[in-house]
Amino acid sequence: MEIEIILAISMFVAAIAALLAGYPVALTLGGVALIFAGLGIALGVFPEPLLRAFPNRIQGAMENQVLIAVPLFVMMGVILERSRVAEDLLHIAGRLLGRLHGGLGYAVVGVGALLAASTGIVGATVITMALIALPTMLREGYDPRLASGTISASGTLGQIIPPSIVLILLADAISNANQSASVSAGLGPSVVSVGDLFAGALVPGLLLVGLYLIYILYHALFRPESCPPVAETGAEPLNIREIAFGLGAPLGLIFTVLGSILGGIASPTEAAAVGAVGALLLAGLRLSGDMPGWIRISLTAGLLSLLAVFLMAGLFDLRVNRSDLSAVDMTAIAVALFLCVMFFASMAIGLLALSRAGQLQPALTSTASITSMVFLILIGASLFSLVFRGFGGEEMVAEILAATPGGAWGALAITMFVMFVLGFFLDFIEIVFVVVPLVAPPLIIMGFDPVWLAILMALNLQTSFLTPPFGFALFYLRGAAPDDLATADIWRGAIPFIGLQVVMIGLVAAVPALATALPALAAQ
Amino acid sequence: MADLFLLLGTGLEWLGYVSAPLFLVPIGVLLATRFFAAPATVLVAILDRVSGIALGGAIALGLMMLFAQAGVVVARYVFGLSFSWLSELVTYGFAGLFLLGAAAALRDDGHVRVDILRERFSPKGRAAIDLIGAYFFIFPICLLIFWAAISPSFVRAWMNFEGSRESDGLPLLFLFRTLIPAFAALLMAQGLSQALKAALILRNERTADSLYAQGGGA
Repeated sequence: MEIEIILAISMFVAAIAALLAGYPVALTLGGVALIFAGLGIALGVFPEPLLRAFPNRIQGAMENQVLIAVPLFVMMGVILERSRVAEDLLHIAGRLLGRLHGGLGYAVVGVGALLAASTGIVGATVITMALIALPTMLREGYDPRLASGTISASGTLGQIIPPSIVLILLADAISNANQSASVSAGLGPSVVSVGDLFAGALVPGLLLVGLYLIYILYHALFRPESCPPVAETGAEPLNIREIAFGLGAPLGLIFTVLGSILGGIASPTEAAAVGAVGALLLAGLRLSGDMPGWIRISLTAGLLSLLAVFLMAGLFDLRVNRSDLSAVDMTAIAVALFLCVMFFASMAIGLLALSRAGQLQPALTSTASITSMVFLILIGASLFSLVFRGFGGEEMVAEILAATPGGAWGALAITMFVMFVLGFFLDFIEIVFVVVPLVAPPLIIMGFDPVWLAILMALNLQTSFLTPPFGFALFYLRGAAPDDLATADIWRGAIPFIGLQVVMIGLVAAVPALATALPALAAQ
Repeated sequence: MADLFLLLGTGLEWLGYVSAPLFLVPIGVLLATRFFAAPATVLVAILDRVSGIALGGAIALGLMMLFAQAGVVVARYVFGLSFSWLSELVTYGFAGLFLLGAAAALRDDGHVRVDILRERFSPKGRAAIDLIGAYFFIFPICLLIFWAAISPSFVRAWMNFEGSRESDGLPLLFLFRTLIPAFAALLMAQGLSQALKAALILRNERTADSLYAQGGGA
């Protein structure tokens, strides 16, 4: 074997061994790669100028317009979480559905699906639900396995249901892979956008929600003692206002953001900004209960002015850059301008309200921390790929995949298996940045649809995070669950949901239209 | 003006050489604890503070990104306008957010790690891993980024105050490019701080569970 190949393989093995030491993943990946690059330079088999190109890679990430959506969605999720909007959602859904057999279970699945934006990275959903819903479920006599399985599975829904942050990162990686595949296979150019991936993930994601709900329904019908209704607590019934604000406002926000991306109206970055601003205003309202009235009034006015200004843009022609401005147009533009000023002022007041509630500093620090974490992984992983490529590791992976018995499907199966195992100890983000660039181009050249491939990978990793003993969701649940819930119950509870995941992966593999039909429709 | 910046650059270069011995202090703490413990503790406080200031900058830039992107949306969808400078403000805010925030995330244990085995290590074992990681991973990566980023084209960018390629863009591209070496320097400084903390923990000069600041992470 050539020395480059030996170095490439030992680098991969060394990286995995070093990762187990528990040092930050981004730095481990980059550091191990650099040590091997040094070895390669010393042995004369690594092109040293390649390393000089590294800052250009960083600058590429800095100028990437698609990835700007990531910190904005993180901000939206963190603000919603900090302001307890997410908690309210769970409380209200639980109280609305609680009287049914399995009602709390339905609420958990539904809220897990809605909180997609705030998760996908930190397992915040699993922790939130484990802290709020799990104690109630156990107290009301839910089968601990059903309760913990529902919570950990619903927590992973955030990975697959748009606007998931990891889907944005996956879209970036798959789109690059698709480009390099088209170049090396001499195909025409084709683009994979974040919107495509969101549209592709929507149907499988919702079907998965459906499967989870059916599983709970099955329990409610045939084992009603495993998921009893909530006993009357004598608490005041929810009034319409609470429901409209607690349930309607976040729902409206999420549908606006998702709808404008899927409908092709706005780019993910633009929609994410609207989402973050909306979250800021809603959070301000939620937290301003005992603050001076003018704060509430101006936040409400800000939300209304945002709606009004977009409504006006639909009714009038507000474009400024034209010569035929009539008096009506001028007036409309002036009103719109005034509304915009009001809207930006209310954003500032939203920040003030959060700050008065003591949540601004933690929310922004957390946003900066999560964003830095994601992009440091991108930087470390791109150094790793750069060196791996310098050793010719890319061709090696392509050759291995091509030589797999069973042709293209064999190659796909082995890729999925490796990703599943890596999912035990690596996060979705690391796998997206390290593994996808290596395996996706050859698979796309073999004829697999890039969107379909990405959705399969996402479902596969989501399953991996649910699988004992190493699944991430189970770890998060273990950390947040009461001690008297046995770990064995958490593990056993996850197994039926893993079964549902496998069914879903099989469905998408057998019927690619589940993932590809909606993006194709949206493209028209 | 250009002469002034050249002078500044040379000054920073000398500052780099002068502060290089600081990177030996963690080893000093291990070898001659009594002599190095007190200065190391002071250095940790200073370096953590520097990361905190950079975090403040990252947060301010993150808010700028939010406001500017909201402005882009309103300008485009309501008034049919687009401004390169506004879009560039978004990009600059975004890049500054993650590049300036990385050091504080290291300080606050915000960077993900594989914790399957880590949970079984003793606090001192974890400290030892952090000490090794700083020297073998953080310092080499940051040095590479730093040396490769300070290229002739980077110097030219400062000499000419390189601005945007768009006519209505910001004249600040040279500052944007400076974020890269700044990121490397900040991360390296925080890496040094973590190495110092680890060395102090290994020599019982610091409580074993204080490797990372509390409450900053996710």
